[in-house]
Amino acid sequence: MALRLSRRQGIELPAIGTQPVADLPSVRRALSGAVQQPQAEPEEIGNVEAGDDDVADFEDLAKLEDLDLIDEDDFYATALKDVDE
Amino acid sequence: MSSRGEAGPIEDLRTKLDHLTLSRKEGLKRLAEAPVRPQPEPLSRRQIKALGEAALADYNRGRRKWHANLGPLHTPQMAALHEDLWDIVDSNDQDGDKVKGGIALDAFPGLGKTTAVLAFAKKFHRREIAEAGEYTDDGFERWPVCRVGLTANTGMRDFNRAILEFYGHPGRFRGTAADFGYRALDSVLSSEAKLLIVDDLHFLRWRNRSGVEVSNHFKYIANEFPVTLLMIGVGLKKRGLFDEGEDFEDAVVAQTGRRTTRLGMEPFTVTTEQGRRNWRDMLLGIEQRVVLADKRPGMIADDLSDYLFARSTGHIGSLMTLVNRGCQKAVRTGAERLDEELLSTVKNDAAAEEARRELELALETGKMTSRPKARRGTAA
Repeated sequence: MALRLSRRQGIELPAIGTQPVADLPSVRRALSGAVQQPQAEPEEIGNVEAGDDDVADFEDLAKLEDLDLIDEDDFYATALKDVDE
Repeated sequence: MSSRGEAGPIEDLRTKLDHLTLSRKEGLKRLAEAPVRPQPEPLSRRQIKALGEAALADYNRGRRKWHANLGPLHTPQMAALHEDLWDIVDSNDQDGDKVKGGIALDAFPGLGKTTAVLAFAKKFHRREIAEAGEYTDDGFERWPVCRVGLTANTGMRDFNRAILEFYGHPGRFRGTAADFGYRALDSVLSSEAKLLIVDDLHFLRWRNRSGVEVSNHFKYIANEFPVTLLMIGVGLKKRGLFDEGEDFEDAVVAQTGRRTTRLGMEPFTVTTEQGRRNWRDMLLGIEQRVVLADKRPGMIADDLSDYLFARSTGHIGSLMTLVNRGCQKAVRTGAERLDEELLSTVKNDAAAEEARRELELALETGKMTSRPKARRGTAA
């Protein structure tokens, strides 16, 4: 069907072999070794969804620590050690 | 028997520790040389919730294993015992013509006798291997420690056979008591063993024929085997291990007693300030190791101090059982914390449960406290 329509509409296909091989960017790079293509700018994305273990979790922990105001190193300073330590 | 794939080397050594017997030398070696188990990372409730199904199962499996194997902690009782053991064992490092003094660790159940002795055996094994190498000068494997557990009807032949079983000796199936004895001596000499641990000595019936026989055999071992004999049992003094006695059988037993140093282990007590501080340091050690999402400083060491003392009566075995079971439940049910409500649903050993009532009453009425002065009034 698509083929039939294309024949009816007389779509012009691009001529093969109009672009010399040397014009291809990859070939130019290989031949000259110094042709720099412009770098694409990083795309800006708004409203990125946070990961599961991102800042919020550490904030939770920090809040708990602030609430308790306990330095764990001091709190467990006299705790018994493992016999293997 | 084929094995299914290979696990990571450290994890493999650790996870398979739940399936070994200390009746064989390989088991003791694996226990002695296993690396320290890594503590699972503490995660918040939010982080746990964010884990996928497989990751959560893996995390909880790690916590199950961890809580089931807390410690052993270097308690004051264990530290004192190890000091005495080093003194005696090292003083026995004399020439083979001198009789080596034995040790009897005599204490009630639930005080961690076997745990403490195995911790010492691990250190001793490592020290000897580090100093003298894995092989003896004659090219045999070096096994610094031999361990034998007694059963209810152990006679001399069974005892010798148990030593052969420990070494995996091919001649352990047939022979007389004397044959087994010579093979046992040969194994001890070849492996250059220096410490012979005899566990559950209370199973021995001292006053009957087999008891006298084995007691006499200990004297033979002390004379002929270049080892320190370390006996572990309950009520050994009461059973007459150290009696002088008057009749022949008493005198036979007395010879063992004369060459044996008696050591003990005590439960935690809270009748002195030092005792209460020791108890709190013990609880702090446990609390530091517990991996539950809602854990906070003081959850165990302050809030549960009296409760745990009442339920364990200061016996470390009962305490560790209760904490282990409580943590398993806290993970399984999602409670993620230890408190009286959760622990009240956890069963403990029968002896601790029996003794609990009286202590609870004393603690509730304020006649007694387990908390040091500085920490009173901090519990919830």
